[in-house]
Amino acid sequence: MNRLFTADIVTNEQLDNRYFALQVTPNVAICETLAGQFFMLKSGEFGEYTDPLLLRPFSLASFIHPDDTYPNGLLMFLIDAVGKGTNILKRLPVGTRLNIIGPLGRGFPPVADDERLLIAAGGIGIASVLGLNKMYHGVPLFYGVRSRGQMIECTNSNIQVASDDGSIGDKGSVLALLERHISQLRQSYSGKIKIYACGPHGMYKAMFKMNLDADVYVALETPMACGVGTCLGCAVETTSGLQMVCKDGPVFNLKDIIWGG
Amino acid sequence: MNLSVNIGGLKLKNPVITASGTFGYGVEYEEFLDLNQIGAITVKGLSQHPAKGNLPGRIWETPCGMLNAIGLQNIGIDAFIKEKLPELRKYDTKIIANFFGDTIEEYAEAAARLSAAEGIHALEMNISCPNKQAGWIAFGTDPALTEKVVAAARKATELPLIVKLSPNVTSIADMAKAAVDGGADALSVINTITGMAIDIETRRPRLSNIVGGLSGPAIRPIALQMVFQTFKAVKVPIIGMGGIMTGGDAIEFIIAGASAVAVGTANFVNPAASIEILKGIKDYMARHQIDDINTLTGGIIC
Ligand SMILES: Cc1cc2nc3c(=O)[nH]c(=O)nc-3n(C[C@H](O)[C@H](O)[C@H](O)COP(=O)(O)OP(=O)(O)OC[C@H]3O[C@@H](n4cnc5c(N)ncnc54)[C@H](O)[C@@H]3O)c2cc1C
Ligand SMILES: Cc1cc2nc3c(=O)[nH]c(=O)nc-3n(C[C@H](O)[C@H](O)[C@H](O)COP(=O)(O)O)c2cc1C
Repeated sequence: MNRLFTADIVTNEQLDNRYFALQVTPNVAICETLAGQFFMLKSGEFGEYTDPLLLRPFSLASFIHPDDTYPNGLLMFLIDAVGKGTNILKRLPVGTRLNIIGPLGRGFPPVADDERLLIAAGGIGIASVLGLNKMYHGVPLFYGVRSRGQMIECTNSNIQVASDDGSIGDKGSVLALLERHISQLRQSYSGKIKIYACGPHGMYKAMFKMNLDADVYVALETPMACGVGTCLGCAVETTSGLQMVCKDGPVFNLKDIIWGG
Repeated sequence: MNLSVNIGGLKLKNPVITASGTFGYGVEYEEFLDLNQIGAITVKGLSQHPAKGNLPGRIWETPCGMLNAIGLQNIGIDAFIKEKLPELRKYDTKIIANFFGDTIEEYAEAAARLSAAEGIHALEMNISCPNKQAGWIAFGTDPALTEKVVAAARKATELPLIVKLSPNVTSIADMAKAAVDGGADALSVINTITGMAIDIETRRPRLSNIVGGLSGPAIRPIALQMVFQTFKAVKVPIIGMGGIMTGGDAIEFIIAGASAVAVGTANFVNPAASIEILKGIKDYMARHQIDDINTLTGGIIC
C-alpha cells in the first residue's frame, strides 16, 4: 500500500458556481481511509507546476470500493473553489493525472455502543462528515448552508438543515437546531453524547462558547506544506502545547484547542 | 559514471542531500522513498534543549514559493540522539546534523555533544535563520562574529563542519571567507531569504512572527548567483540549495560552483523529489557524456 500515488480524474462536476465534485481513480491500491482523514492533491507532474507550488489538502468525501471498472476504487472530493489552486482543479478535464499523498492525519475516533453520535456540518465542511453519515447510518445530521444552492445532497432521514438566507430549512444558525436537539435528547438520555463537526472556524468558536453538553470533536483547517508532520507549519495551540493539524489532527477535541479572542 | 563527491571530508555516494527542516528527522519519509539512495540526510535544526518555536501562523504560500517562520522548533539534541539516530543508523546514507545555539558557548557545546554520538557524519551549523531575534541574526551577518562562532564550533568537533550561510547580507563572498577563516570545511548556500506577506482584508501579517524565510523556486536565481559568488571567493566545497525542483535545477547549481545540492521545499511538493532529482542528474550526465560529476562543478562557460 502506498500513500504517494497518481490518480486520474473520472468526473469533475460543477455543483454550483463555487462547489464542484472531483472523482479520481488511483493507479495503485491505496490504504484504507477513516472519516476525517485527508489527501493532498496537486495537478500535473510533481515539480512541473511551480505556481501554485504546494499541494492542497482535501477531506475524502467518499470512497467507492474497487470493482471491475475501477480496480483501485474511486475517491471523491467535494471542493469549494476559493482561490488559485482550487480554481485550477475545478477546470481540469476528465483524464487528467493528479499527484496525491494520503490518507493523512487521524480521523474521527470510533463511537462506543453506549454513546449517542450527532453530526454537524457547516458549508463545505459536509465533505469531511459524509463518510460518517454513511458509516453511522441514520445518525442525526445538522447541516448549515449559506443558501439552498450550496446544499450538497446527502441521504439521511434524520437531517436538519438551516440556511443563512432561509431559502432552505430554518433561517439562521444550524447550531441553534443542534442545541435544541441536545436539550430534547437530555430529557430521556443521560449517557454520553458525541458530536463530530466540520465547518468554518467561526462555527467551532461558537460551539466552544456554547459549552454544549457533549463531547465535541472538530476537524481543523490550517495552511499546510508537507501534510506529513515534517515542516511543522500547521501548528495549532492546544492545552497540551503546540500540535500539528496534519499529523496530530485534523480532528481534535474542541476543548483541547485554545481558541483565543 | 562517478557520482560520489567529497564535501570537506564528508564522502557521499551521490551529490543529492535533503535540506534541513524540510525532511524532518528523515525517518518520517521512509515510506515514500528508499533512503539508501540519497547522498545524505540533513535533519531538522537541533538545539541543546527542545525548542517550542513560534506561534501558529507559521507558513504562507507565495508565488512559486513559501514563507516560513517555524522558529526552529525541535526535539533537542538528547532526544534526537536517543530516539531518532538509532533508526537512521539502519540506512546506508550519511547523516548531517544541523544545529544552532543562542550563544557562542551553546554552539560549541552543541557541536561537541553531536560529535560524541555514533552515526552522525558531519555537522551543519545554522547561523542564518531569518526567524530569530536581531542579536542572533548577527552570527550570520557580521563577518567578525561569524568567524568567532565558527571557530568555537571548529574547536569542539573533529567532524566535517559545514557552515550554512544567510543570503540576507550585502556580500555573500565576505561571509563565506569569514566562515572559512573560522575553520569551515564546506559551506551551505543558501538559507531562506527574509520576506513577508499581509492579509489586506485584516491588515494583519500572514505570519505570527511578521517576517519569515522565503524558499522554493522563487529564490532559485538568487541562490544560484550566491553559489556562483561563493565559488569565486573560497576554495572549500559548496552545497547549493534554493528552489531546486528537478535534476536540471541541480545541474544548474553544480555548473555555478556547487559540489553537491540540497533539496528543500521540493520535498513538500513531492516526498520522493530527491530521488527524481538524482535521476535527472544521471540523465544529464549520460546525455552530455560526463563520467564524473566532479568535473562539472564550476563548469560555467562565461
Ligand atoms: C485537513 C483539511 C481538509 C480540508 N478539506 C477540504 C474539503 O474537503 N473541501 C474543501 O473545499 N476544502 C477543504 N480544505 C480547505 C482547502 O484545503 C483550501 O480551501 C485550499 O487549500 C485553498 O487553496 P486555494 O489555492 O484555492 O486558495 P488560496 O487562498 O489561493 O490559497 C493560498 C494558500 O493558503 C492555503 N489555504 C487557504 N485556505 C485554506 C484552508 N481553509 N485550509 C488550508 N489551507 C488553506 C492554500 O493551501 C494555499 O497554500 C481542507 C483543509 C484542510 C487543512
Ligand atoms: C519549513 C522550513 C523549515 C526550515 N528549517 C530549517 C532549519 O531548521 N535549519 C536550517 O538550517 N534551514 C532550515 N530551512 C532552510 C532550508 O534548509 C533551505 O536552506 C531553504 O529552504 C532553501 O532551499 P529550498 O528553496 O529548496 O527549500 C527550512 C526551510 C523550510 C521551508
